[in-house]
Amino acid sequence: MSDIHPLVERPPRSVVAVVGVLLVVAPLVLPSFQTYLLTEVLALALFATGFNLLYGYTGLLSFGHAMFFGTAGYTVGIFMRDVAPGLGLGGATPLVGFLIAGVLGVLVAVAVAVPVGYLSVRLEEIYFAMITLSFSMALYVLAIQNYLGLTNGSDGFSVILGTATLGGFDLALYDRVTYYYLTLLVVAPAMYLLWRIVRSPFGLVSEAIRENAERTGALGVGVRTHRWAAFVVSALFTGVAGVLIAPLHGSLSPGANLHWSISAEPVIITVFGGPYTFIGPTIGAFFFEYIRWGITQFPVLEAHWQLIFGTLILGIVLFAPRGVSGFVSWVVSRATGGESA
Amino acid sequence: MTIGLPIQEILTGLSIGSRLFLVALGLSLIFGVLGVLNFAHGAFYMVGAYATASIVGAVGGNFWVAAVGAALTVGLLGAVVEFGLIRRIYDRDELDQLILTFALVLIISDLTRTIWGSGTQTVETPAAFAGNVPVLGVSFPAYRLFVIVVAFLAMGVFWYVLTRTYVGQLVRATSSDRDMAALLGVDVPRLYTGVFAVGSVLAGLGGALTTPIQSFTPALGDQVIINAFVVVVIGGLGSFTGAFVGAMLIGLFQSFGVLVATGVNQLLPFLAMILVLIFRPEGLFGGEEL
Amino acid sequence: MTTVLETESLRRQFGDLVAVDDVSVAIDSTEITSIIGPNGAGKTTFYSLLTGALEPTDGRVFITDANNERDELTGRPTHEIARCGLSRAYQINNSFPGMSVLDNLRVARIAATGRSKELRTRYRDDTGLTESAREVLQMMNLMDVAETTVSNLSHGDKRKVEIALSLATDPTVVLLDEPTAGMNPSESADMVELIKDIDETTETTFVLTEHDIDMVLDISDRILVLHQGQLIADGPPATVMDDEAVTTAYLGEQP
Repeated sequence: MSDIHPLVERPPRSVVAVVGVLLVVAPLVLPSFQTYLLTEVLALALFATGFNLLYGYTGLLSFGHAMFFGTAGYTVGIFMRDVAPGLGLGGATPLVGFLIAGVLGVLVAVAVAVPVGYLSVRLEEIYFAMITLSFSMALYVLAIQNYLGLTNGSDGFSVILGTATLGGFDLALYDRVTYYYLTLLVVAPAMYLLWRIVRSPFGLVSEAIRENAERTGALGVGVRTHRWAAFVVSALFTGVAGVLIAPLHGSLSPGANLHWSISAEPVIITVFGGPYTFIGPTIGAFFFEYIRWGITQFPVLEAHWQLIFGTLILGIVLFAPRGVSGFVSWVVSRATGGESA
Repeated sequence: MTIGLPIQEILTGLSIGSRLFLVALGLSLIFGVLGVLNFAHGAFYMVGAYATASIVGAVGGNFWVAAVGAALTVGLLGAVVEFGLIRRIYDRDELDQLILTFALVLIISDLTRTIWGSGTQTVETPAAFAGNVPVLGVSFPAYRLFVIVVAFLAMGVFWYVLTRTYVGQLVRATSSDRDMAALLGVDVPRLYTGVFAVGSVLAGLGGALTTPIQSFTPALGDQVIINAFVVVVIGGLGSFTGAFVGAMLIGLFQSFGVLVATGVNQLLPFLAMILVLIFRPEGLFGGEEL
Repeated sequence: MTTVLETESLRRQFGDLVAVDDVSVAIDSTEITSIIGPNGAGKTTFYSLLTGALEPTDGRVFITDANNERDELTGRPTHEIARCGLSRAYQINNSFPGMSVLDNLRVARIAATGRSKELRTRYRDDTGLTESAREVLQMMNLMDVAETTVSNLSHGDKRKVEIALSLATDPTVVLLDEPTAGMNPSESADMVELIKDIDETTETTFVLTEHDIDMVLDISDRILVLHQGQLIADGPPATVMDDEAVTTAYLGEQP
């Protein structure tokens, strides 16, 4: 959207660099639990940014993104539980096994997205939301029913990465600081790729489809195919987030990984942060995570987290529909006296 | 079990469908006329159930007073919500409307838990319908039969009001062309509030009637809304015939599905929704005006 | 006469209503053709049939490109027809309102060059892309508002963006639907000059529908008259304006 202030739409390199340095240095100064939270923020930021490629940039609201998040996570869990031990990788299993599992997890998410996307992009608006919801909930039910005996039903199972021994060097993957850096090493390039996608001709055409799908088609673009491609790419990055979250939480269950309330998370996060900028979802992830944590610090508030989040979302929809990043853009525009809508 | 038609399962299915129908009818009515898909409709259903439980105690056990009182309470809640919140976002994206009503789900769920606690609630079956009656060769709970009758009655009343009365004409006209209706002198904002309130009353009534049949917790709203979505999508958003047929279909799925394998009854509704969205997205009765 | 766009007995029915009734025309690439007719004559439906927005009940549509290759367009999806060189500007502005004028045209250029799936490059930094978009801006006198969001433009400028989009894909034929709709006389005059200019400087063939008869007489080399879905006149302005059938259609039977 071109009436977002340029400083917010394309943050200057210096800002990005500073944030980058802060992210690298953070775990060295933060208490262990805060490092855990920050790791989760990174994964949620990727989840939401991947989701927003489809929503903010292409105009398709999916209510079923948990299906990519969850299937990728479950693939990692199942692989680490059933396949990795038998691979003969020895001490390197936790790391190499996890890497293989991660790639497989993303591939599974993509494999789900291709047929689901093909069927879903024939619909628009509410109907698109409904069909993605149904696919996701169908998978949820299958997981609860322990389909193929893989998922252990509603109880789920644990995903623990141990210590990897690589040529005499020990890497404790369950250690929060270590896992944080592993996550950062995956999320940073992933976000960069998403950034490149959004700045590419593909990304601009996606925005055009959001603005006016009919005209985009009349200019010669195959709109349905383009939406399908955006759907699959969105699923891919969501899958990466799902892969990272599974060992972080240490467990998998249908309720925590496939339920529609999980599909709602990137929606809430994106609404908070603002769907029309690239960093909106990331800002939303920060807000979401730290408000959520802040609430748990006060038992009185924790009992009413739904009320708090509900009211926040209500406030944003009514008074700040462009989310926090939209608000920041407005402030910056006023402050610099620049042109803005 | 009788040989031949599985009457027991059919009646159970119709009973489940009947409760769903009231919620789905309200949801479909609101979408058909206002164009808003009210995510909070399941929460309204839940408030109806809780209100019934409370009022029953207050009026010395009279279920009927409680049910009507609960339905009207939810209607009032709906009117307030429409007037204060929904009204502000009519000209916005459908997606913004969805997100706003989703926020309402969170708020209402929380308030419900605050007022009534998270424990399980039950309400006794009204004395008039306690026990079983013989129906078509099986022994079936009288109250559940009553609920089925209510659903058919509601269907009949709605059909009559919408097709044969002046108010019904106004509603149908406004739903098909809001601006034209306004030009012709229809007080559209008031009509909208009225329709939203009626839709909420239906949800509240559905919740109220469900209380003698199942015990409930604050998770009731979430369970119901997903099923309600399935019903209206399959039946056709905005079609009340569709809401009826869709609800009965889902009820039957749930009733029979349990027989096939556990979990099938939960899976079937979603598969049905997917199939409808792929082959006939407007729903089985979609495209019909209400 | 080099035929660039032709229809054969094109027909579109909606139940009992025949909106376009056996229309056969051959558009000449060297002429500016206008289609006129009273309201409800079927002009917009005719356009929709050409661009694939509507499927014909009967009949065929062909386009002949610069290499003299004749392509059938009948029944093909809209985006394919667009890629065959047939473009359209809408009566009601149909652009990308949340994006800047320049970005609007970038989209058109990306579509025209088949780069919509490209992920590697950055569209802002692509000088070739930006230049080709700016060329269209220059042609339409929109350079001043290149970075303005379309929804913030004046109506006249929005119309220009609308037409700019239809021209940005380097089409063989462009169908303009009431290009001066909602414009004041001075804006309309500018638009007429612009169309004549572009017609002279590019290979694109212009077809337009209009209600403003004076404008039509000024700009057209050929006029087609539609009435109740049928083609009732087809020829140079002088001939058509003299045609009794045309007068009757507009004014009713003369006593």
